Amino acid sequence: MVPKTPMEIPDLVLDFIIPATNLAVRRLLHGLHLSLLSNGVAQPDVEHTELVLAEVLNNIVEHAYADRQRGSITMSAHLLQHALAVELTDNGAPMPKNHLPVGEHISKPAIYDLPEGGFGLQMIRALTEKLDYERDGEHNRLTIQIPRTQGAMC
Amino acid sequence: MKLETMAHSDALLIKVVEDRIDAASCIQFKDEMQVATVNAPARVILDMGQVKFLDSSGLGAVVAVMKACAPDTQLELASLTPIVAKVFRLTRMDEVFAIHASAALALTA
Repeated sequence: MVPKTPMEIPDLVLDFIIPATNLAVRRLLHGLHLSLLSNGVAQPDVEHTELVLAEVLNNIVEHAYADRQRGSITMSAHLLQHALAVELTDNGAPMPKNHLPVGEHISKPAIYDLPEGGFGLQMIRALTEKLDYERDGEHNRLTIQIPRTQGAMC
Repeated sequence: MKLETMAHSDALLIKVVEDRIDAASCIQFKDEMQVATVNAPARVILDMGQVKFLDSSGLGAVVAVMKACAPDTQLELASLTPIVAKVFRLTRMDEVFAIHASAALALTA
């Protein structure tokens, strides 16, 4: 269960297994935020990372596990020189048709037609440089790479 | 979810006294905003200066409050932190909301 990033030894490896609840997601994000900051990742990159991971984790809680408050999520994050590589697995329902949905671009609609959801995937796609989904037996596996744009350690 | 409200002559100022509006707190935010904006004047200014994290659930809640306030009351935003401003930009919701640099500037607008 290691992100496929051959050749490079990560500066930091963080592994989490959490129950699939909103509060557990919040606690994981808090811990990850502090770890990345204390390992020299620039504040904006930490914030982008937290946002992307909030979106994918919330998505697993709400859709793969359909808010049943049961099940677990495994996350392995590898801090590399130029990116954070993250692999997430869960045992929830597969994505529709076993594929990532295509992010709809929300144009400026009339006020009463404004969506109150669907923003997540837009943000995930905007902030990741790699996003792969695979259904593996009873598991969902999501592999994400979030670029480090500032002050990568050399 | 803590909200502080302050009535001004033609606007109601609501300050979010929380670090985050996320999937775990968005329903509470929506409910408490609904209570806070009953009989609101023409403008409600939401000061988000203390909010350091807003995910898509939180954004959906802000949009829902804005829709619930319309058409008699316009929900405007103030003091967005950089990452919260980015969420509005990435989703193009910055084109939908009036966004002010600070609550003080919003009140004189």
